[in-house]
Amino acid sequence: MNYFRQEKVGIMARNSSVIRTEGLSKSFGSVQAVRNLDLEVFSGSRFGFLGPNGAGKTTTVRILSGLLKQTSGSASVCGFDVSTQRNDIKAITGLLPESPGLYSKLSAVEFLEFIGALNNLSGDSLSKRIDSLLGMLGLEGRRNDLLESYSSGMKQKVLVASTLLHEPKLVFLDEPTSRLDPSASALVKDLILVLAEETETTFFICTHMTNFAEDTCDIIGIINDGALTTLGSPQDIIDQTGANDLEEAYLKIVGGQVDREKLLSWRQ
Amino acid sequence: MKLHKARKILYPVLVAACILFSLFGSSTIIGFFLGEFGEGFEIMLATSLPGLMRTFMLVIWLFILVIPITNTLESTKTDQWDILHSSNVRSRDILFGTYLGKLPIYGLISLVLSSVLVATFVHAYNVSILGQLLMYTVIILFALTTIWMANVIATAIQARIGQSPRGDDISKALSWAMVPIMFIPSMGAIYWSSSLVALMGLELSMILPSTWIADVLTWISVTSSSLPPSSIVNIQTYWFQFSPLLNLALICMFCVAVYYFGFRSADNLYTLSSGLGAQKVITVGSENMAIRGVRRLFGAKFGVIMVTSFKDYTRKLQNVAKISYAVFLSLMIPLLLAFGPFATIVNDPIFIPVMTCLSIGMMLGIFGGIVFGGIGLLDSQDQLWILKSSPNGVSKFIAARVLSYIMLGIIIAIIPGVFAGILLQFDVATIVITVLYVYSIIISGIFIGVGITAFNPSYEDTSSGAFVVNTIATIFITMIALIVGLIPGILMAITQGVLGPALTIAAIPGPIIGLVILFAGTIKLNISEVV
Repeated sequence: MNYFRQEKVGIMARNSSVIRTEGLSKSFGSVQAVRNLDLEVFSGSRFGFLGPNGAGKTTTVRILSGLLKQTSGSASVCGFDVSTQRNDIKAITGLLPESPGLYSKLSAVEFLEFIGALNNLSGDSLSKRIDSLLGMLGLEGRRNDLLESYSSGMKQKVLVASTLLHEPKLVFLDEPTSRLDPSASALVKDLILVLAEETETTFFICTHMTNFAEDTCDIIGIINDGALTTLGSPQDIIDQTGANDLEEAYLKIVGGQVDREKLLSWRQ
Repeated sequence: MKLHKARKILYPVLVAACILFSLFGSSTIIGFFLGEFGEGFEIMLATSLPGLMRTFMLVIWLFILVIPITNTLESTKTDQWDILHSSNVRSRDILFGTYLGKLPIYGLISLVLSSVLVATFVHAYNVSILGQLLMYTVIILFALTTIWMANVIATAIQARIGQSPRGDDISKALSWAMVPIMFIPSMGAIYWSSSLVALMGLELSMILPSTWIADVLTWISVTSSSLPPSSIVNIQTYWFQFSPLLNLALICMFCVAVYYFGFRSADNLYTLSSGLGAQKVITVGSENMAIRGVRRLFGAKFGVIMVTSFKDYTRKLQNVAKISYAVFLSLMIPLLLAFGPFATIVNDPIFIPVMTCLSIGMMLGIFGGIVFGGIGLLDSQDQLWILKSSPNGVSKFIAARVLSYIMLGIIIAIIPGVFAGILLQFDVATIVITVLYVYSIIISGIFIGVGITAFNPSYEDTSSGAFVVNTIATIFITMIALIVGLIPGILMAITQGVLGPALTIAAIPGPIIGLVILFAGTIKLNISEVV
């Protein structure tokens, strides 16, 4: 089974489809979180998923990573069906959740060992990988301190390391830089670029940060009220909307530009 | 949610019910029970009540003092202070506001508890209505002062701890340790005070405010009773080291001082810096032999998950405090059996071992379920995310957790089992049987507690509805599992008179029932959707 999976993933050529959804929908009671999502993401690409709060980004990621069941429609991830082959999907994908759920009484090394063991990694190769990742993220000096004493940015770095630890073919990142300082954000951006280019790792990035998305992603999808409204390269989207940058284009598509008079109206 | 919406009607109804219970219910119930013991008992009660009242008052005083503190420490939230202090609000107003917030519930608890005291006096001395009203007034004023004192102490502790993951852990550990820390010395003082009377010329308890209030209550009740003047003089002469007026003056001074120093210290309280090591950075050292052994025993991959489970659970002070509390309570059982009402039949070869097994097993089984399952399984929904995003992550995690709890359970079963065996002079075989039976019930509790929590995760939120439901379900099912095992066990003990096989039979159903719940819970947690 493992051999088959490896082989199947291994033969996925650049530009072959890694994520494919057809009419994907998800409802929570009367709330429709995702509506008829048709999407295709290709191997080695860096897909940016933009949208306002509550637009359905996180729900989509959770369905694609095998954590939620869709209400209707279908989706496949790296050739595996999200309805029936969840464990296969989990084995070859990495997920960085929006909020950190670290074990406060473990050190960074212990936590990464734990994540490695959950993903069937062990031994010297795991230890070397942990050392390298912590060193690269600037945490080597705090590697044996309990995570309870880490700042939120440092915790985010540990989570980034835990997401990449088992070398996933597809990485879901939910707001990866929201807690990071500019230099750490730049590091994560470079890490994404080099992994995508050198190892054909595919990134599916949910973010509010249009600058980050513009610099990092080669394809952008904008989701609003559960439906995909725009799809294209950052430059295409900017050109289509006649905007100066992605932020302006995003605001034109999603709405949210408020005039100066209205900004002061609350004082009356 | 529905209860919250109806609070404007429900709370006045609750207040009215508590007042009615205090005025009529408690006196009827207490009167009925005390009347059952006959006239001789009533005379003895009337004579010894002032002394008994000091002990009762101490327990009630500590209860009203400790419970608000432990509840506050359960959820330390000092970040709200920053919001309040950044607005134009004085520290003393914040302190007074949090005090007012505590009054509706703790005030009612005080009223109901005090009604039991007043009812006893009413029954013993036939206290007039005016006397009863005076007693309630004194008790309520004293209770309000005590709640204020608890509020000030809780604020001071919170400020010293501060809000951080480590501070939160220390705070929760303290909330569990608070009861033994305050009750044991106080009860010890009462126990030893009688022998110190001769040395000091007065009882040690006379320095406690609870004793002053108990004596004032006695004074009010006897002077407003139908007792003849000679009896009143006798009671006062025998019991009162201080004059009633001096006691009243001491109480007034105590109340004024508590409020005065509370308000005076408000500014300092909120600016106390963390000093209990809450901000300390802990660096882990090399693994000890036990951890290395576990790692080796369970292999490279699962061994790491097991070791993680051990480290995560045992490094939390609150878990250590909870386990220590459970072991402490279970050690009380053999002490009660050795020195309590059963002490006269301590040599019975069947009754005492069976009672020991049952009581320790019952207590540790329930504690096992709550301590390991209810509040030790998953810290947050985000942790569940991490587990769910790896293949079979939930199943591996639950298996590791349960195995590590089972290993910790060995120590929890051995300590009280061996202590009981030595104290109650069991032979070695009976000690082994006791430990094994207790261990089987602990395992049942672990399976049931973890299974139910996996079914309905409550995370670390002990104020959530899920936690309350899980706790009740864990206790209920553990008790049923215990009883299901006991029926064939007792039948065998009666028909064949053998302790070992009877307890072995009694030990089997619990873990089986627990295992079924554990599997069901794990499957549910695996397939449930995290939103």
